[in-house]
Amino acid sequence: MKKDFDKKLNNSLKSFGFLFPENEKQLESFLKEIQNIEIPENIKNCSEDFSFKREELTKFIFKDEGNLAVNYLAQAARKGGNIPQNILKKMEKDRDNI
Amino acid sequence: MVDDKHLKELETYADSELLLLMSYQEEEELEAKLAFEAFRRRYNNVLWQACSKVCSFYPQSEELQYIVYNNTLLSIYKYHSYDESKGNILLWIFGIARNELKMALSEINSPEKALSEAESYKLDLLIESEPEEEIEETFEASIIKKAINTLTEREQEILLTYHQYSDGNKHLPDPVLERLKEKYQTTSANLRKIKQRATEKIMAYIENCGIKV
Repeated sequence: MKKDFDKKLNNSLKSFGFLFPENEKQLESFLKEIQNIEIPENIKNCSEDFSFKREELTKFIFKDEGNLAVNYLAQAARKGGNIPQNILKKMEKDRDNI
Repeated sequence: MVDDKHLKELETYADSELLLLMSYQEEEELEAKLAFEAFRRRYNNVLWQACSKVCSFYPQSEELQYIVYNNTLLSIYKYHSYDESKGNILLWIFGIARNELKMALSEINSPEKALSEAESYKLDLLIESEPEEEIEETFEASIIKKAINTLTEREQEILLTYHQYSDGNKHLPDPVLERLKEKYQTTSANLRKIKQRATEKIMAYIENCGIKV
């Protein structure tokens, strides 16, 4: 029963946007879930040129509270490329919070 | 630089034709990049929305979302290995995005260790595994969303990470396991217990809604 539950849960997660879908049925539900998500202007309709550069998160700092690391800073190492303003602001905010 | 007229023409091409043109990136780079641009314009918005939704459940969600989105597009350009007979192209695109998310989550805290892992994920793009036995049943969307919301941030991340690999019952790859162990200052055994407890909480929530599990 537990395995069946896990499978049904997994199918639900892939259908309702918690994980990427893997089959047609999941895709159908997934697309309904995401259809109203807002797209930033700089992403919408490819208004900026694609950089053809791989992006990576390279820095990760923990700030522990007891046994649980609940805060962190990630700084994306992007050599040029198109970094959306909202992401830059978020990164600055994260840095200030450390 | 972009030949708008030619790009407009390419936008009328079928997916398979655009992907074929992308495969000529060594011989005719400009044409390959234009074909990619036409393909990107077709699927850009839905890819962004999908990355936005799935990455929202992880730490560093905004950065992660941008990285998965960008690297998925780059992998499409590099690998262009879609086989029409295997079904909907969106499933292929989202399959690449899934790999990119796994790679990004592996790389977050251990870029060196992730390197070899990343290479093997790249191979996943070319070698498709046999699909697992599919089940069609799901829980109701509203119930599953509320059930997931009862979990702590830590439980959510651990449960979803496990479920990225099979139906949550497979072992996690070492870089992923190491990242979670370091982040939550815990052991592999405890991670499995947290995942188990999260599953039980969801099960209990669903049962409390009067649904037999």
